[in-house]
Amino acid sequence: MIKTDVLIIGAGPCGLFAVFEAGLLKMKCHLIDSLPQAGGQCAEIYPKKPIYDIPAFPEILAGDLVNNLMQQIKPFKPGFTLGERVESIEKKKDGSFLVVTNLGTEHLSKVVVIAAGLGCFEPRKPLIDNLDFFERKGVDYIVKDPKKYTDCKVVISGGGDSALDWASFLANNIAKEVTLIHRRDSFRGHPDSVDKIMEMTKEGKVNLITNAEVTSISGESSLSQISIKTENGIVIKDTDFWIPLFGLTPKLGPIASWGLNLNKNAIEVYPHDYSTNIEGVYAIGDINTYPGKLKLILSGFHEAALMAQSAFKHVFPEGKKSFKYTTVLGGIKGF
Amino acid sequence: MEKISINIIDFDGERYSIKTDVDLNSNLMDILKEEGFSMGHCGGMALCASCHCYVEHNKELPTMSIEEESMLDQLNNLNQTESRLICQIPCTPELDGITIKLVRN
Ligand SMILES: Cc1cc2nc3c(=O)[nH]c(=O)nc-3n(C[C@H](O)[C@H](O)[C@H](O)COP(=O)(O)OP(=O)(O)OC[C@H]3O[C@@H](n4cnc5c(N)ncnc54)[C@H](O)[C@@H]3O)c2cc1C
Ligand code: FES
Repeated sequence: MIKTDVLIIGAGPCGLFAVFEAGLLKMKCHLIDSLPQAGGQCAEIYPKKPIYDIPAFPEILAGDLVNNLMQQIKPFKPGFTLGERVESIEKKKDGSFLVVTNLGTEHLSKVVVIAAGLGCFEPRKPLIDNLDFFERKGVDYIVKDPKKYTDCKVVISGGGDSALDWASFLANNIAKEVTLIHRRDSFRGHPDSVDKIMEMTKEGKVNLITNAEVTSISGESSLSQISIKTENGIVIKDTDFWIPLFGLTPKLGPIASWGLNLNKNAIEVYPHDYSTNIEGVYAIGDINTYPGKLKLILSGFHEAALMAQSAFKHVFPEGKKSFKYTTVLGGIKGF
Repeated sequence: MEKISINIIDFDGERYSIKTDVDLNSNLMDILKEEGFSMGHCGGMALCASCHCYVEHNKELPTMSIEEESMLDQLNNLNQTESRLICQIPCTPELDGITIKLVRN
């Protein structure tokens, strides 16, 4: 069981900055995110795009903003549970919260901060019958551990960078056979990745099937065959794995069932401290709503500061906090 | 200001029409967002596909950018002839009478 003062659901920019603001008040934080990396939308959707409205940064790449935040919060030693989605929050009799993920990891904390942005990033699933049945029984939406595919037959669908990169990676002395299926005849991924796949196709290391898509999957207890619709008719292929890589999209997910007041997929909060209708639960960043809400990183940072001041009373009921500038005590070491 | 009409087929197959101003600084995603549909997560940069719709090609539409094609490439519910990211379609007079079918993305 992971124990902490403040549990933050969502490691996007606002969740990350909340660690800093809570840290200044000596509250220990732990973050959970369904993505394997921190950074939320900035890391997943637009790491290489410049942002122009972060105060004092005339221009900063979204990926660099995340790196800077990680550096800024490092002294407070936050914990991370990454690659796991929060499924449930239960309030205990003593007012603390038990927060459990899809993989069963348990977290106990005095305060919960929901910084879940647009929701959980989840894979776009193909529209295929029986798909649910074969999930984790041959159908994977992300490659977590490439060794899993050693000496196996693997079919990858998709035309983006991740499909191209995993196809070439797995075809290089890992999988026994790699087939890449793409709906169009041209790829829009990074030119280097496209060149590599074309080269490997010529060398016979990758079977490339274009203008084609998987239309059905079958097997007994796990996946063993897929049907592919091609220009020349249906092709049946034996395979151990099918990895459809159609990108990730945010979904509100389990948050809807946590008893919070929602308004159009956003959590209603009191704008003086961003608390929710459940005492001890706060919501900051893109996930919250209140009159005049602006979905901007800068607004989320401000919300994190006010939230931390209010959360203090739950973490240290007897404690007295005094407001100090970071400059006064010679940097955060003084806090 | 010149007005155009846009036909919308919503998730339940319900058909209705709205009128909007011709405005080159605004696009079809902006209009549908104002109508209350949840889209536009990336602000219209062809990076999120929350605005993916099927658009009936009875109207002259702007050609697709590489960014739009590459985003559409990743979608599982792509319709080769009608799929568009409607944030990439500005509100020009030519769109008058266009039909947009919403897709669950
Ligand atoms: C293309 C693009 C350009 C943008 N440009 C700007 C800009 O110029 N300026 C600006 O201020 N803003 C911009 N934004 C918006 C900005 O990125 C968001 O406001 C910001 O990311 C919100 O941060 P957040 O921490 O609230 O949430 P997010 O960044 O959305 O992060 C939330 C995290 O929570 C996780 N999560 C959700 N639910 C769960 C759960 N149940 N369990 C585990 N994890 C969960 C998600 O996986 C996600 O990683 C832009 C957004 C996009 C997409
Ligand atoms: S709004 Fe993101 S792709 Fe159109």
